[in-house]
Amino acid sequence: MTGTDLAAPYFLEPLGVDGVARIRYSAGTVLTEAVARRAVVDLAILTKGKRLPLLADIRKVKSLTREARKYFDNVTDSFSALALLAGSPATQLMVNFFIGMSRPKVPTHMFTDEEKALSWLRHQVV
Amino acid sequence: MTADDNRLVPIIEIITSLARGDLQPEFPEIVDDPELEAIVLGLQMLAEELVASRAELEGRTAELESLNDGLVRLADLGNLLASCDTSGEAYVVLGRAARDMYSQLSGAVYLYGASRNVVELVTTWGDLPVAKSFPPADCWALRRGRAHHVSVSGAELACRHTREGERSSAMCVPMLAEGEALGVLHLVAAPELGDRVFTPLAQRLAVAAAEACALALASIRLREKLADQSLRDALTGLYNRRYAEETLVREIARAKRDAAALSVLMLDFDHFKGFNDEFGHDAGDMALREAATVLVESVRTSDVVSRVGGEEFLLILPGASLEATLQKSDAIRKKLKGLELFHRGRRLPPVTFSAGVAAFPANGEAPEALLRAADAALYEAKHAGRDRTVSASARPAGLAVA
Repeated sequence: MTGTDLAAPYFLEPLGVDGVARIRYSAGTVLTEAVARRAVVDLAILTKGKRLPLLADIRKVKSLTREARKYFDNVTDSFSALALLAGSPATQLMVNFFIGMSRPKVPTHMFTDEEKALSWLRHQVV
Repeated sequence: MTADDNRLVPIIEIITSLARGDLQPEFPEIVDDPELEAIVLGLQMLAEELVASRAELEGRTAELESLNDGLVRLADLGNLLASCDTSGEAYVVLGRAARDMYSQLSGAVYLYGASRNVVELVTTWGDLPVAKSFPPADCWALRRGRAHHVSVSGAELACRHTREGERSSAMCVPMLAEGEALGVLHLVAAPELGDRVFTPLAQRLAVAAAEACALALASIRLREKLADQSLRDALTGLYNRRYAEETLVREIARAKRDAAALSVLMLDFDHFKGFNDEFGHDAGDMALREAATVLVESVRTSDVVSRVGGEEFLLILPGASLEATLQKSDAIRKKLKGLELFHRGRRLPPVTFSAGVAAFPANGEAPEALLRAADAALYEAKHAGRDRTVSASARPAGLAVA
């Protein structure tokens, strides 16, 4: 699900020269375990299995199920660092909840400013 | 109530439901109020975590209760096994206890046979079609000396003694006592139970149960061996005088109760001292062992053959009449006389035995009286020239049966 697929719950941006993978969830997406699994598989294809830093833009996500949170618990170390881009109080709460409950194994931060997120991630490139 | 207060009504309702223990209340969809939306979402996620934690806690509590129940049963089983006198009793107790402990499972207990080439079925329960016996190499638990669990997915190697194509969670636990495997406990869950039954705790309990049973069985077997040794004559393996006398008391009581016949046959090696002097004690011992083999092979399994003195044997024959015993005595003496004995490459001369026969109740109603009668008849046989049988009933007339 790369490029712009309007019906898709997310889309992946092509890898740039900065070595940061980017996933943007579509407006109103209910982030279920099935969506989470597909996204992780697509990201693995995009990165060719390399552990890269990831920018996950969840600003437009409607909700995040517990099963999806549990699934993400086990796959965070597929990436070298994780910048979670939130916007509304609800998405900020989702991120804080995830970080608080999951204690990710790789550097993980919440940002509300994309530039700051990318700047932080570029410092995490191995 | 102000407009701001009304805004908080859904939050208050959610918190009230959570406080009542209802962890899955209705979470309203909030629009155009991002802060409230975040609070409702936060409460919803917390409630989901609480539901999951509660389910996990309930699962663990149930497992701990089951473990506790298992430990209590295990302690009971240990006490029961410790009270068993024989392996046979222990097998019955073990079968019932295993069935009780693992009632939701099918299972079987196998123990090594004397040859240790095969394990034999002792008890089984549930609807498990089990092999009556199998070679130890067919069981991974026996091969590796540790518990072997096979999950429904079948990722692990299944034992060859289990049903072909079986897609059930199963476990084999070796019954180890002091480093030696006595057998194996085999447990199988019904397919619909999946892998739920053999949790890590349940597996540990099964190992503890198998070890407790193995230790108890080893202890009983040792006790049996010691008891058997105290009843046996070390040279010939026959029963000793003590066992023969106890048996005679029991058999006379039985004969009295059932109005049945009972005879005793006393046999004595003729000129045994001379035989020993001429050919050596080794030769004498060998002759006694050979004679013992002939005696055991000549009678029924219900008869008792014992060595009651240096060269003297006593046979107790429940249900045998005097006449039948006289015939049996002569047949035995004939076989003994026909024994071909070799010692250190040298052929030994034929041996002869004298015999005295007495029957209950004609020659004595009490054990001592019956033995005295047989002994007196034996004396008569010796006195009359040896190599013969004398009946206690014929003694007054001095009649010898050649």
